[in-house]
Amino acid sequence: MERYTEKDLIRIREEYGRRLEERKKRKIEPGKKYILTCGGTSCLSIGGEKSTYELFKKVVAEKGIEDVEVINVGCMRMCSEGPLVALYPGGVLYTRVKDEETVRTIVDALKEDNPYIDEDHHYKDPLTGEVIHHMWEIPFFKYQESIILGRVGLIDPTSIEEYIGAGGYFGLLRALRMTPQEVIEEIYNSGLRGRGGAGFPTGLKWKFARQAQGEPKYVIANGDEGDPGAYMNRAEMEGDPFALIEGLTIAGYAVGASKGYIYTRAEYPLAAELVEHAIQVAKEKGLLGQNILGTDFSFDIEVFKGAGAFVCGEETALIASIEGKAGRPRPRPPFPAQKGLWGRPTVINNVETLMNVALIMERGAEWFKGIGTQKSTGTKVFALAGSLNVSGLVEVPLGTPIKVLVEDIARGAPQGHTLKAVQMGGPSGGCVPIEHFDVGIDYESLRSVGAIMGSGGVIALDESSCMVDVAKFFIEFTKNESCGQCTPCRDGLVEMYDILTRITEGKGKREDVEKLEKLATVVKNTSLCGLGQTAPGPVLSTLTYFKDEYMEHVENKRCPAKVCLPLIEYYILPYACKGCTICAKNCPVNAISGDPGKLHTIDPEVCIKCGTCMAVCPFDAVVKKDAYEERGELYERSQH
Amino acid sequence: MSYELTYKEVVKGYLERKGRTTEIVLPVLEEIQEKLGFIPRGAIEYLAEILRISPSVIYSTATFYHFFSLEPKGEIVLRVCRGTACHVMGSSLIMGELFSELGLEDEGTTPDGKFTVESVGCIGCCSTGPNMVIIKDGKEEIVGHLTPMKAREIIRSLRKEVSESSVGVE
Repeated sequence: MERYTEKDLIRIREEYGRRLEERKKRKIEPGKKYILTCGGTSCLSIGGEKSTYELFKKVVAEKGIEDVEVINVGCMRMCSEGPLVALYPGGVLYTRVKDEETVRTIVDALKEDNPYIDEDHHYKDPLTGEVIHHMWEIPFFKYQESIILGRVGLIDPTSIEEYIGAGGYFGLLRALRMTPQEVIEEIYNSGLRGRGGAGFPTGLKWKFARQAQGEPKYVIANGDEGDPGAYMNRAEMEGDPFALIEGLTIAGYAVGASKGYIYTRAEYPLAAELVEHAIQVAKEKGLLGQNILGTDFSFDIEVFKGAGAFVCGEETALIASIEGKAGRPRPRPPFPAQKGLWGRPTVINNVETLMNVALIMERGAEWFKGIGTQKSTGTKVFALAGSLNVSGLVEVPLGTPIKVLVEDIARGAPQGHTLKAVQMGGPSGGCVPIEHFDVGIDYESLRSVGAIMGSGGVIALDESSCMVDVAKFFIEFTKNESCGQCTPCRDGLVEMYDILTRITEGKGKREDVEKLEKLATVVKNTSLCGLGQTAPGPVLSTLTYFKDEYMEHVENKRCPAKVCLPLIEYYILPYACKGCTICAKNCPVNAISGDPGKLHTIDPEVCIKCGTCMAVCPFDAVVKKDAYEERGELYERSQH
Repeated sequence: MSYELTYKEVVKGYLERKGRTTEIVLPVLEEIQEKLGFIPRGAIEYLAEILRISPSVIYSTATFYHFFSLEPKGEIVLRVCRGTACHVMGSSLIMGELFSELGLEDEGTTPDGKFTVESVGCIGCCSTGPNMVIIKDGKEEIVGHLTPMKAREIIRSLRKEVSESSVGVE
């Protein structure tokens, strides 16, 4: 077993650092080539039976090409265009590489030193139509600042050498030369705040735990990323697991803990596997375990998999869960920093927070403070999804306006759609309407418009989303995930859900909206833990900005976005129907009748409103109609 | 029965590694769930006896988390992603389609024990929604860009596979 010393780290950094520099070159050069395939869950799920990595390995071996190295890396971020493949030097990005044929085309192109292929497999800008080959010229990447994701998607997550080559473990090395108090001071000075959403200063949390009485102490990485629409932590763990381990080790040193846990979700099997592998390797190299890097400091890490409970993202519930109990939160204080796991002082930090820790210790607090705003330093990774042309993971300095994320990076809504809001912070967050898109993303500014930073999920909503339905969706989620311990959350959310259901079914009254608002405020103010306290956010923010949509449902029994099924009917436009019978053939419940060549009609009694007829009709003859659009009216319109 | 052997082995494995601590409860239950597809009553009682705590404590844990099931699941488990992005892209229509195609009223298992339909918080493939995870023969496959029609086709072809494979058994 080879245990690394400082000298080894320096040697490896030089050797692998050089390789990485070569790999990052922007100019296409003859000689050794690196093919990076995205190994993120999303890209893997779009591909076929064999992953793009396996396909490239196979084709390169078959053709007997030397000087080409295929490396499976973490998430390459532009998930909507996946599976992604990058060629270095040059940073040429290939998109939608799903089949062996495309892989062969790319490998053949390598030989000719003209690596571009057909435009279907390169990024084509949805706004300008321009085909852009190189990653750093693509707007999606151009506007990002990648400090956390810099290594994700570039290095092999299973190689500790590549991690060291990219500067890894020099943060720990520096920390071990300082006293724990100095490390805490450094983190405090960097201004780093918790990336799990609440934004508590990390250095302060550490200081409390350091000063607290009780042995042993524990540090825990919170990777229980339960927010629907958020997968930053997964990509971070899958793409750069050593950084998390390094960050947690530094936390352990600073706080005085000898044991750390990485708590992740059962839904993320790949992340758990890669983190476990990294722990094993770090142990073998003496970067984890007894006497790390030859010092007196010993530290061990264990991976703990959650079992599917959103509330376990709350720190006291997470602790209960490790202790083998149902994940029910308990009142704070005492805070975990005083009484945590097994009643001992415990620090719980988000995965991304700890990855920042490793970087801050490597590059210094001053460097970190130079990024972001004065009160919110550093960057934040967001998961962009919803009605956007390009979507995936993005990292920007804190303080970046929402507009930059949505318009510059994600290139706005697809043609024919108009954005009306973004939902930020998941079930604990809120909806920010388009008129506030120039708000900078930092902890305070977002709170001022009724949203929260949250863990980083950003979902863009267009005119086809009903805001009442979105609010109902989140309340349904939090109602199901409530641990049931305190009354406001357990019963309040059920009552809110019932009201929202009534409204979306067209049975709501004006008083219901008032009652909903009142109830939301009570749940927010009186719940025991963060889940209940923040759960009304989606309702309160949509009531603030989109009350008109609620009122349409209540007063006119109409869903303007035509989403709420009880308020719509599918209808075939007589003038447009050619009697082609396709809709009738595809209807799963045989609700459509009509002779070939003649007008078809839908029986509303039988129809389950699945929308298949609308999707398959070649003449756009099937429409959704609501209370405003009586059949006659539609027919009349067709006559003009 | 082999069930009993399996859960006893799992429990013993963790006892050896970690000692008699309730910290093993979740990992043990997870492994039993993965290996057997559900958590038998006997496993709860056995674990409680070993850890010298009341079975009700283990029962409380086993019923708290979504990942655990006290009933055997169907041969094929369909897990529809109910994340925000999938929701606004129509995951409830996918769910509805699965229910109507399989004759289910709500999440659960079909009477013939072939299919289980359930929802999952978010699988983090938000750019390719609506998504569904198909778990068959211990393997997980994620299918994205679903439409009700695509979902229906998937069910119909899966149903064919299941009925063909079980001919020999019957």
